Amino acid sequence: MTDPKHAPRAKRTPFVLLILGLMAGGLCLLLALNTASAANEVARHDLTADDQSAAAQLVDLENQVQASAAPANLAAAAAALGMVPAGNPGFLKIGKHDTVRVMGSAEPASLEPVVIPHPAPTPTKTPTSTKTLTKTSTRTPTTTKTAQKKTAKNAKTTPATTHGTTKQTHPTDTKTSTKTAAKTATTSTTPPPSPTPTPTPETTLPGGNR
Amino acid sequence: MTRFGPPAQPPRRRPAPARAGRPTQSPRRAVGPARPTRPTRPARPPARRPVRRRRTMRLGALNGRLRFGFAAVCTLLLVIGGRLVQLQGLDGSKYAAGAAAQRVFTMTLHAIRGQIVDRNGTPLAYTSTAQDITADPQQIKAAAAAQRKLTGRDDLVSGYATTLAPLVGVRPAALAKLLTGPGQYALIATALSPVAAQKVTALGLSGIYTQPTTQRQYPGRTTAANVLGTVHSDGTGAAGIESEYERVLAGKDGSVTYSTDNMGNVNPASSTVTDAARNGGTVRLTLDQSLQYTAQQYLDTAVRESGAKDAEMVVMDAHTAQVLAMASSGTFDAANPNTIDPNEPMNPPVMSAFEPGSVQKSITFAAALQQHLIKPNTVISVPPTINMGGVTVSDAWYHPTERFTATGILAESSNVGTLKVAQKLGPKTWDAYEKKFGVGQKTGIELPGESSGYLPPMSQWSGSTFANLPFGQGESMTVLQLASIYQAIANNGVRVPPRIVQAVTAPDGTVTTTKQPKGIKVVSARTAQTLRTMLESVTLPGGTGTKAAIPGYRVAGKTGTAQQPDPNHGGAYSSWMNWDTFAGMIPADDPQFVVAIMVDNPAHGVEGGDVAAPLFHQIATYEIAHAHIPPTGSLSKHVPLQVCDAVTRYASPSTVC
Repeated sequence: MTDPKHAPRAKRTPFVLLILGLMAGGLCLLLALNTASAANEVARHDLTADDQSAAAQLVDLENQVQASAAPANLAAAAAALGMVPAGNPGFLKIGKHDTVRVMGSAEPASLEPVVIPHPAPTPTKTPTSTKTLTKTSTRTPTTTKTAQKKTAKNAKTTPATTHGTTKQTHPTDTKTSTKTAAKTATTSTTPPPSPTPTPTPETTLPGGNR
Repeated sequence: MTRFGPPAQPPRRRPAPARAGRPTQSPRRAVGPARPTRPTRPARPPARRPVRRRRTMRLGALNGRLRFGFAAVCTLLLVIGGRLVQLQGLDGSKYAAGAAAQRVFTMTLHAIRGQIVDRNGTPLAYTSTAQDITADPQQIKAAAAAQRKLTGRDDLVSGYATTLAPLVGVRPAALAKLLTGPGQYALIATALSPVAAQKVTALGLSGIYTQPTTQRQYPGRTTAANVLGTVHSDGTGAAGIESEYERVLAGKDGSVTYSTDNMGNVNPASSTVTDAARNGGTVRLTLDQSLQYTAQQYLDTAVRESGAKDAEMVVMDAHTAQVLAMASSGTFDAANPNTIDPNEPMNPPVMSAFEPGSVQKSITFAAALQQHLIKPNTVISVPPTINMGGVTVSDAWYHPTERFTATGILAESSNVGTLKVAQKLGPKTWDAYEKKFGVGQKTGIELPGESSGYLPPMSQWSGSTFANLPFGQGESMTVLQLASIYQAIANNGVRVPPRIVQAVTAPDGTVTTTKQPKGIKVVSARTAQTLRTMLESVTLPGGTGTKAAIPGYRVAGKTGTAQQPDPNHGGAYSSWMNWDTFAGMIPADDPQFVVAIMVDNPAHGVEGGDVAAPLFHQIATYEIAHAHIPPTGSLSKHVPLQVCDAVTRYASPSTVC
């Protein structure tokens, strides 16, 4: 009877050790998993915050672009660049054998550049996160550079937000100016008011949403 | 046990004889002594019986307790079971709902209202996400109390107010009042931009919260505001296209349902039911944003310079009758409903009617041309006055009896001459043509509150009615209807009911293009062409609308100056209050667009040719450059305006004779 009693005891020790080891290992693993999950949760939270911040800025920037692209602000930006409204346009009609006929009665533009007494105010919202700010600034490359230079030269009053605006004014205005052979002020007694008369302060508020 | 049983038995039986020695206990068995071994058996039962009897008694008592216990347990179980049935079966749904209410939450997903865009896709109205800022005054009170306890200072609320005020745009005093108000909810700022809301959140003030909402944006602000209308504070359409197309634009809010644990964290194992929000569809207008803006600017300037009360303009495509611009002066700011004047119609070009005056003489002349009653050079003797139905009508300027051509009557806008032409037509024919041109009928444009104008029915005519109507007094129309009349003349006699919505894109992406309404043949193409050449003489030297002329282009149009009824003189026609009108098209021999203008009661420049005609010149000059419309290159046909004597021939411009 003594032998069978001692034999299992000798075998139990490694088993107990194994169980203890498994438990300790399991606990460590659990701790590691828990820590990793907590760390991931923190990372997720940060990323969500970044995402929300980026989304918020996107909405803000879109609103700014739309407000700047509004006709009143385009007109103000064009005037700030020294553009004048075209008068009566002339057209070149190219007929057979490359004969060119001038149609319409065009005259050179004689209007003074429109003076904008009150520049369009800069939008009140400024980007908060520097991360996104650098992103956007690197994303807007050469195209705005020239526009920026021009704006800086021609009018210090041009708001910072007209980067988008100047981009937009260019195509529309070049369209008309290429088509119009020359700009004229017509012979009516009162010079026609420009299509870009001084906008009222309300119409020039970009991004003012309420 | 079976193995040890047999040996154990003999010893047990051994004491049996000793028991036999007790005869008193078993007298019957003592009779037979011959059987010495026998008594052992009978002796046993008495010895064992008491033991057995004791046992059965205990068992009996036990049974009773068992039964009692069993019954008690059963009763208990029954009570518990019954309660279970009551809780689970009968009241179950109530408790389940109560539990769900504690852990299941539903959040609204806001549908984004659809866009309204112009014909080129430029957004005129769109919706962006925004945040409301709210406060829980009770939490703020608790935080203030905690701060007082810790630091002894009592400036938490004022600190909140001064920090938040610049971010939310509310004055600190008003803000402090909101923060200390009653209840657990105070709305302190609505529709803040997401970036501004983030700044508020970043402050980490306890008791200050944000909640998502949406904000309607009108980037052009006043541009086309009269057409777009505006939205209520809850985001539903209140006027204009916003209300007319509410069903398309609104979209449908969705929701997300999730359950949380006791800490308020979302339970990841629970099922989250998401009912996605369906965003609104897009409405594409026929308006051209640039033209619309320019038209509004010109109108505002003209009103300011002429001291007029109001001015309206409609620009329309000559062939499709799509409205390119529908403008009125002093339009409200769609983004700021406080600028809306409740006493003024929101969209005058379709809502307010006026007496057109001479501008609608074109209808009288179109009818006479179509009926072959006149030709452009038909000579009519025009006296200084004419008596019709008991009233004497004169021209706007004095002249002796002169021999005008039909073209001359139109170009110089003679009322007497027009009445003579109308007399040739007769009231019935004249009335039929008015109706064909759409006078007194709604155009059916997709805008709310359209006025039909007024054409008195023939049954209600008095004797003098037909002495007024042919030159546009005694009837009324909107600027849109006026444009529609000239569209018929421009489109070779086919009047297409005007439309302002080009296409509607449903939320699922299906595009429904507005079908061009069926045209109404009003006059023949030949009549329309002839009338256009006659209308050209209006803008040529000698005509009333020379200020509308554009060098190099052939312009057809007509001025109008209608007297307004003066309420201070019992509604009689005033001699100084006028509706000045001009309607025209360009180029005259192949019209591309039609413009109709009305200036209400200008203080300076009382005739249509003085205020409205220059406006036509401005907007047409802009549009030919903007839409790249070259001159046709043809030349106007010269028709003399009157039969001239030698003096007139010498004194008048070459086009007159």
